[in-house]
Amino acid sequence: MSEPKLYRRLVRRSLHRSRSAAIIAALVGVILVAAYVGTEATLAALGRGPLLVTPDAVLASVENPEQLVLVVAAAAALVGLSLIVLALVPGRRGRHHVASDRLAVVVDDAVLAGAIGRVVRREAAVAESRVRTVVGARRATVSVTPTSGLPLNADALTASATRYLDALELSPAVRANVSVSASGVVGS
Amino acid sequence: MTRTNRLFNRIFLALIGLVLIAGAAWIANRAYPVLAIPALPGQLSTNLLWIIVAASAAVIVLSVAWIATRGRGRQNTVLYVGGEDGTVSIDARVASDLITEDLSAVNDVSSVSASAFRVGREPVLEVRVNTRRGADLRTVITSVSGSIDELDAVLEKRIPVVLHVRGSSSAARLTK
Repeated sequence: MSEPKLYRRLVRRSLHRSRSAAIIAALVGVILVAAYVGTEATLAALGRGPLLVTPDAVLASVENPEQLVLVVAAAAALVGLSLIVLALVPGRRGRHHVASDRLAVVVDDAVLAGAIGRVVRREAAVAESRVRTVVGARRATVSVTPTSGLPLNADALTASATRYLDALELSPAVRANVSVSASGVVGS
Repeated sequence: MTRTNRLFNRIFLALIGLVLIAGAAWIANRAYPVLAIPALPGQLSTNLLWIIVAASAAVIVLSVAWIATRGRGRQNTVLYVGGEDGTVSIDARVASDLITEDLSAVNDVSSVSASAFRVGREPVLEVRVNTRRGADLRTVITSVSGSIDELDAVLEKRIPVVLHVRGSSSAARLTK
């Protein structure tokens, strides 16, 4: 595998969940059900009494379902549906890929939020506690509380955050949006 | 990061989901008939019961095997060179020590760890850098990149490297 191709693959794997935890949980359920079915079938084949119900009784209630069986069926359908959803949705992790010549770089969104917050905080010259940054898949939202009497220009702050993000060449790309709250506070 | 085949994880998840929904649909159809589906046998023969036992056992064995093979491919050795004069193997810790030293000048880096895993036959080095809030990303990446260049020069080989820059440790997050 060539290095760019290998790196693309490594980054893709790092940005998404492997679904190993989900499949392990599902298979543990499958194992428990199969163990029970196997046990009841063995007892019935040997002509012994059942643990809970005989296989014949199970078949009869499936063919002629009562309320309880319908509730169990509904629960099974819900679990089945959620497994299919898990199989189909991308399972993105809160991470982004950062361009680099030598390395396949992956960064947690929390780290990204901290870095953007620092850029905005320096530009706005406010304390760390006055800047809140949330990084999503494609958007970074920064909210700044200004000091009373020292107005801040949200557009200028957005521009500097955007410049920082552009330099990182993130994928998926992230757009910055800085908002300055209307009321400032006194002191730092 | 491991060699786990993720496509098959998803295929099996979907399969288990479909079986559950199909079973539920069968029962729902009996309660509120829509389709004329054939009736199940009223009584299971002994042969059929033994077939069910065998099928259950097979399902259990395959499931355990599938679970046991998740997450394979991790190893400690980044590079293994065999020659006439003996063999050389490089541990992932060599890389992490080198990177830790170079990063010591960078602010807001709390710890570094490294491990290796295989993709196909190729060893890949995975470097994890834990940072505190507000660490400058470019500086961290440039520093690690420089360390890896040094490693390349020493080993005379370019090893694929994944760098994962992480936030504060999960322990710190739990206590918050």
